[in-house]
Amino acid sequence: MEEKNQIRIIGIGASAGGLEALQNFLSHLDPEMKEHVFIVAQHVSPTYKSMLAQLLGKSSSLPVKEAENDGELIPGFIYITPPDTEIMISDQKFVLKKPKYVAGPKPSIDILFQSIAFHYRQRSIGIILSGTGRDGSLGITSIKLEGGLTIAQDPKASKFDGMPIAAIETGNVDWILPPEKMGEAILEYIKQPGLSKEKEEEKDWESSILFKILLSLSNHKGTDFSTYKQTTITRRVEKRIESLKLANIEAYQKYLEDHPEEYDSLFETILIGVTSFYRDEEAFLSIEEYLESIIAEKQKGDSIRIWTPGCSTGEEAYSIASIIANILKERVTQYNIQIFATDIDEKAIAFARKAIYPNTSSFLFKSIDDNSFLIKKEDSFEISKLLRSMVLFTKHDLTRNPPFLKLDMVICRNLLIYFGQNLQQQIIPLFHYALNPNGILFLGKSETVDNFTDLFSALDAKNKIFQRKRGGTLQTLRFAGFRPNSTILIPSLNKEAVRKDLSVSEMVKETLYNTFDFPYVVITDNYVIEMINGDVNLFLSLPEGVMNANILKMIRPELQVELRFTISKVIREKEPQKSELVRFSVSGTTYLTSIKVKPLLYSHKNNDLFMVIFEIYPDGSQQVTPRIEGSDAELFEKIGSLEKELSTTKEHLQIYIEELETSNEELQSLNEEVQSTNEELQSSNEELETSVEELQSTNEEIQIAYSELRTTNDELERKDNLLKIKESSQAALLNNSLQSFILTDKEFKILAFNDKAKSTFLFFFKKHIQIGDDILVFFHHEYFPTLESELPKLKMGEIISGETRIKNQVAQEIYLAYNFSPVLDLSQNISVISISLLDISFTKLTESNLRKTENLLQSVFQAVDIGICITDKFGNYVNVNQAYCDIYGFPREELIGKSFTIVVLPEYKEAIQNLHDQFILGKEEIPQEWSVQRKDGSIIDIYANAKLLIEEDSTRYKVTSVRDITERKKYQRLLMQTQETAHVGGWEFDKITLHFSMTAETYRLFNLPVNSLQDMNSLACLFNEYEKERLLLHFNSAVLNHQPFDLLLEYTDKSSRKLWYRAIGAPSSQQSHTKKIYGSFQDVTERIHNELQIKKTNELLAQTNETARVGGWEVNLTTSEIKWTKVTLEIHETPYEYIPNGEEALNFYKEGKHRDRISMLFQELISNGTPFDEEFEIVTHKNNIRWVRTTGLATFENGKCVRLYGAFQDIHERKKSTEAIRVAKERYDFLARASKDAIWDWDLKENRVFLGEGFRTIFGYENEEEIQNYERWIECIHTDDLERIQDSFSKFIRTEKESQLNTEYRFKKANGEYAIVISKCYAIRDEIGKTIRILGSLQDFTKSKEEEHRLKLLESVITNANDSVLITEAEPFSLPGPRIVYVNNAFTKMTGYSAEEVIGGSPRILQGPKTDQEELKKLRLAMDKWESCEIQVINYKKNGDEFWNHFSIFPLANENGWFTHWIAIEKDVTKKKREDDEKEKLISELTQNNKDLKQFTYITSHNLRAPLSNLTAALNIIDDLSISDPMLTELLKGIRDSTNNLNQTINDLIKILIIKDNPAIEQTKLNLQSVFETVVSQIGNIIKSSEAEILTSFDQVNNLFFNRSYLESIFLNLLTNAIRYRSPKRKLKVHVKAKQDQDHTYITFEDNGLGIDMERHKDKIFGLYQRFHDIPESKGLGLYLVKTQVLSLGGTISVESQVDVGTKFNIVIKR
Amino acid sequence: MISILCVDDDPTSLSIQQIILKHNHFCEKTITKTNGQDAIDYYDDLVKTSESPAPDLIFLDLNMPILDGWGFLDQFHSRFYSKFPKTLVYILSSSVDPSDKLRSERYPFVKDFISKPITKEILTQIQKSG
Repeated sequence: MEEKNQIRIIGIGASAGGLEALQNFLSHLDPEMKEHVFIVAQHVSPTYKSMLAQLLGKSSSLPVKEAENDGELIPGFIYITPPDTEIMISDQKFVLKKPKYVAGPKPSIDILFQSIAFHYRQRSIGIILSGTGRDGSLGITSIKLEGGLTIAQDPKASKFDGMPIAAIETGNVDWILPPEKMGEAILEYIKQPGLSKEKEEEKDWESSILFKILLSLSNHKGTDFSTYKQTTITRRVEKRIESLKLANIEAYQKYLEDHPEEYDSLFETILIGVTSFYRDEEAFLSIEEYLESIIAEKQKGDSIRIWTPGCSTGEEAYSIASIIANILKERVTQYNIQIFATDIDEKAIAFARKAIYPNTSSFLFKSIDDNSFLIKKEDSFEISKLLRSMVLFTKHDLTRNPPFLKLDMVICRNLLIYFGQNLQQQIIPLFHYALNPNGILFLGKSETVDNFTDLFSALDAKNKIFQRKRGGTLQTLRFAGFRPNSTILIPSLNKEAVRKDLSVSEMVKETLYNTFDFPYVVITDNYVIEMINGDVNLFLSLPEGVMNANILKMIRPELQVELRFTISKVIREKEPQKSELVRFSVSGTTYLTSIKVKPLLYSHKNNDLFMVIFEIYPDGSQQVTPRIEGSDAELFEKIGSLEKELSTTKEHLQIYIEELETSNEELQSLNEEVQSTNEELQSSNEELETSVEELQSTNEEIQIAYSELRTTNDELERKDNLLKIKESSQAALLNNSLQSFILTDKEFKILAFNDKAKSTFLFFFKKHIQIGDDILVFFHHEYFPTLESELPKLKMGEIISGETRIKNQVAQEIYLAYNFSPVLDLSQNISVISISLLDISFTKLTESNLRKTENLLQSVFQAVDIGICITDKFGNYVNVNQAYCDIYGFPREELIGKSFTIVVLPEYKEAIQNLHDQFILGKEEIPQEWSVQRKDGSIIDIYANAKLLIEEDSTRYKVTSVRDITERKKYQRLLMQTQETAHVGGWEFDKITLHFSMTAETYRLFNLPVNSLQDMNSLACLFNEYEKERLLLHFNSAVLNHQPFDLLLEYTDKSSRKLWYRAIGAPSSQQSHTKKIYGSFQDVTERIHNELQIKKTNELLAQTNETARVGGWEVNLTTSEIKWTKVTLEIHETPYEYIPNGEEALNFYKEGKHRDRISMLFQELISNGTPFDEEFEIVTHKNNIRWVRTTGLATFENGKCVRLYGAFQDIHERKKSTEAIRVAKERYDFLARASKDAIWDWDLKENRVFLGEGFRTIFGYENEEEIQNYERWIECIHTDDLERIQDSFSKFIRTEKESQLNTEYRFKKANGEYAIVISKCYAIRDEIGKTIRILGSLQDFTKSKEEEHRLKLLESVITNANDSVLITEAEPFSLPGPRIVYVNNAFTKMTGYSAEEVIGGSPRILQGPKTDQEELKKLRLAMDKWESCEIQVINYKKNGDEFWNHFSIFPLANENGWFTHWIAIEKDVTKKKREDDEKEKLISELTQNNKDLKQFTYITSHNLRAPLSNLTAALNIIDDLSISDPMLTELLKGIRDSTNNLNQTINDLIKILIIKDNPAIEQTKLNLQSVFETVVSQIGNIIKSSEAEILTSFDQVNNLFFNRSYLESIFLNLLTNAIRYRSPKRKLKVHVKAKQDQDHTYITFEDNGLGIDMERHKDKIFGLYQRFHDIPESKGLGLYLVKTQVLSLGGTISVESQVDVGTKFNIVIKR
Repeated sequence: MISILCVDDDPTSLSIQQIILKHNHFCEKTITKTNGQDAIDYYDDLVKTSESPAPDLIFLDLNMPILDGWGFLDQFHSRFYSKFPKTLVYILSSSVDPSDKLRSERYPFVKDFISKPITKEILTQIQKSG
């Protein structure tokens, strides 16, 4: 162990430039290093064979070897990694692997270092040499975390500095060295931890067992306690040893090795947290002050940061939180309060996070006024959320983890006491570092800042409150761990490295500084020495007593005065001062000194520092002497020059010192920068802490799950044990049993059996049974006849059991009981069958004996006719006999096993059970009568007697005999009850003994004491005289003559109440002659009264019903019978004998909602009994509709509705009037709203007028103030009306009689116009008749007035109209027709009926036999549709004359659009009708004529044409013949000409005829020019010969729609006319023009021909056969044809002409 | 090769027609009937006997006693047209009523409506179209 511990594994990572570094490193290795292992991970190419081993071998004194997979690590070797391999170590062996990743350097330094760190922990050493990239930095960190040593090559000395810098940047590199120095440093590191005495102590300590325990504890728990105060730790460990009852610490170490869980216990024991709320209350009270002052300096939104390391279970942290909360109160949210509570004990932290503390600690909170920080629970309390939100708990190892920074306060109480001195020394500066300037450090009672007074000043020494001093030391802090091993060699910056950083001037300064001879000290302004340089022993010495750094206390007494003086002067003047030379002697030698005091150029933060320089000179008396030999002057000169030189030197020195200071300052600022970087890192660290916390909670959950698992496991174990115990006890049980047990498998092969089984089988079957035998062999069919068939049942999980009788070897009969039980496994298959056998022979015998006795008893038991029951001690039936069953009506089987209370009445159950229980205990029960209940629920009386039966085994039974005495009891009770309830008292008279007795009730009736009467006489005396006589008479008659009697007697009681008693007497008829007379008295007063009352009520009811028309109804649901009372029948208007049945009754209700509703209500009534009372409409028997009110109720019996009944009331009249009122009210409301009147209300007293909305809408008065009093009102009345109105108004006001005044006047509107108004007013008068208020309305009557006027006019029009006017109402159309409401005078004139005769009648009065029914039908149809209509029919006058009446009707609507009237305008058209008829006749004649004529024309023309065509044809033939006779030729010419002429004429005529007859002629779009040219070409010859000049201008016309042949014909005729009638005097000129506008085309045809005498021919120009010139060809047809053609197409033609000038035709054609 | 049936109640018209036809060498054979019924009878015989060939062309007057031209056209259409589908009919009438012309156009075998008198020019036209 010891040996092994020494081995270090030194991992060396190198890359580019690494070979040189490696060689450097290896060549400087000390041979002593052979005790250790070196592993080199040099990045090499995976493809080339490496020469590394050879290269390194040359430079190294140690052997170099390539590492082999699974090869052992042998000290003294330098192992190098083969190419393309990853190297790792595991269990002192190498593991070589193919690299996992293609990319990245190989081998990976990280992987190597991590594996070294994992296996060798603090014995790992990692070296990073030259290289690029970052490989190795992770590995370095791992080694560092495990407490190993880490070294990086000095980047400046590296060829490539990437890897070393990356490693250094992790902050985990211990040393930065050049390679050649590394070996030495490592050796030193390995060889010694111990430069100082303390370390040596620790060396001992380290070798101690306790240390080793702590070390392995550290490995297990991650927390190193080795630096903690040894005494404390030892105490805690001893405690563990004690509690484990171990002998010593060695045993404990061994115990730990065997029981790793002990580490947990040890860890917890060491970490005993002793804390409580406000521990040390006084200290907490004073800390409150400081907290207040801290907070006072804070601004809103600032952070208040407090750290409480070693918080344990958090009480302290919460205490601080509550103090802060208390100080801040509601301002608490304005600050960001962070209390970092840290501890290494996670359990404690988990506890603290929950913040639930036992109640016992809560009283501590009482010092805080406000308990609202606590949430009380049953036996604990919870810290409020507010406080919890202020505190952040996290795991933190003060000795390992970096501190929180920028803190306002550190509270570290009673933690340092656990730490060793060395650790304490490092913690205090850490706090200083972590705190803000002036931050507060709060320590525990027995703790102190130790000798760090330069860092902290005590604020409250008693309570250990310290304040951080400004500045303090520049001491480097290291947070990565304060292990002794690593801290020793914290390298102050390497000298060489430093050297490079210094400038020349600095180096000069440094040198000067070092050569400055005079010793000096630096002091503060309170004389405390801060620093000493040089040997000051001569001047200063340590005084006795308390250690004190005050320079005045330390200075030599001789110098003290001078020094104090000088320093105080300097402090005052801030100027350097030099003291006088002072002589002093030490051990015989005399010294001369001058003390120089200078303020330091730079004040040190808040402290001014001063330098005290002791300049020493040799004592003049000794030294000066030889110099005296020279001249004094020379000496002085020399001294002078020396002094001068000295002062110059001083000045220089001063300068250098200043420069030194400057560079110091620079360094300091540099340091600050580093610190700030560090702080940033800290803050990110804090964030990490938070996430750690989250992880923490996850972890807690896992913990819980784990503990659950564990519990389950424990449970399982417990069960397992239980099972084992059971198994063994079962085995024992089996063997102890008298039964034989055999276990077989499912094939009945024996698996096990007990001893008894063995002997049983031997005894019965003479056979030893053995495991594996088939058990069934023994079970012969002979003895177990049913077994075989039953075996399959086993498979179903059933148990087979039975008994059998076997004869054994000695022929003894034996009874065996057997039982086969299958044992099923989980899947319900048989796993094992258990078989048991028991000899039950003896039992069997006893059984049969018993049975005999029992039978005997049983028969007796059953035979008796008294009910007997046997009950056990609980009262449960054990047995009953038949008689018992008969009495109670229960079958036997229903009783056995039940409690006897089954027959007890429920109300007695408890009491009787008690009686029974006591009886069982021995208390006797007297035979008694009981009332009990039979099964059928009937109650019977029994007489019961009981006997207690105590069996041998002391079980107790109760045997009860029971007799039914119900009948007897019944009569007794009946009598009693009757008497009591009916107030009947009985009496009895014995004829023979003459004994008269009365029942108690009788006495009560007469209010007499019982048995106070002896005979009937005295009883009779209680009545009045008359009644007495009557009673006695009848009584005696009964006694003597056996005459029964029944009398109603009037009795007056003592309080003079009049009562009615009925007295009955009758002889007993038991025997032929009467021995006894029985009788009774009964108080029947109530009945008599009731009868009277009922009689009265009935009368009243009948009366009421009659008057209110209230009837009743009833339905008996069982019989389905319906009963209606008389009134009900009357309301239904049915005959009295009417009997309604179900449906029918409801059918009286009006169909629809009424009937539906009543049906629904009936359903409800029957099913739920919901009563109703509603109003309905019914249709009575006589078809009248009436309103009724029906109520319904139901009677239920046994939950079933048996009867429905209710009232039935005629409410028709009431309903009708209600309805009428409602309608009236509605109408009124509507009117009020719809009214267009302006309402006003004039208060005469106040003379104020209130105006309604109408004044605005009708008269336009927007502002009601315009008319608010009478005077203003008056102004609105038209002056012409004013006097009249004022008069009537004042009269109206004065009068007392009239309450209403209607006037009409003109009222000024807001716009100045006058409206005609009707004013209505009502006066309200007080009791003496004085008018106090007038309410009125103004109705704008203007329109009505105008309307009226207009109507009057209209009326006169109607009245005086020639057409008769008749107005009827709108309906009915059907018979007898609408009523006439008006006829005018014309009607009377037309029909002869006067208005009086027809108004109110029907217009049908005018109809008669010849009236056309078809026309009337038309009229009716129109009226149906509310349409107007016109018809013409024959009507009859009053005198019976027929006339044609043309009349039109139209409906008249009111303003709402409703048709209210028909108006008929009637006209006598007889005359017109006659004329029309004639006209029509004429037209038809003419048409016929015309037709005939046309036909005639055709025929004529045809007939004409036929011969003409023959002529033509013949002539044509003749033309081809040669005729020689000239005369004939001449004649033929004449015939031809005539024929041609005739033909032409006829053709023309036919043409005209066709045009006239055929107006629908085709029109096409024509081009005028082309049409005209066609015409011109047709008659080209004629034109040519006439030499006519023809001009056309058709340009303006684009399109003309016309018939082409017509147009051609028109042009042809006009052109030929123009040529034909041209003037011989001049050349013919024809000008044809055309133009167009929107609607027409205009064509003018102008010539300069002969002209027409317009005066003569004006009317004839276009006539047929009109000729105006004596020109042979003229036939007078052309123009007629032209005109015909133009007109036929809707055109016009006109002519202008002047004789001998020319003619112009204007043709206009519609477009 | 052409044979023509002329139906006209006017003997003058008939003789003139024949003269013109003959004169213009329009046909070889002319048959004349003086009313529609005669013409129908002729066709009945024709169908019965089938002795002589049917006329190639008919000049038909409209205004005729007993059975007018329209009556003939109807009967011919229903009874004979299918048998003599090549027969062409020309209405030769003195009627100038346009409705008559329209009416005649309804018969598929009516080629034209000619106003009397028939002339050499018309015949030439018929020949051309024929």
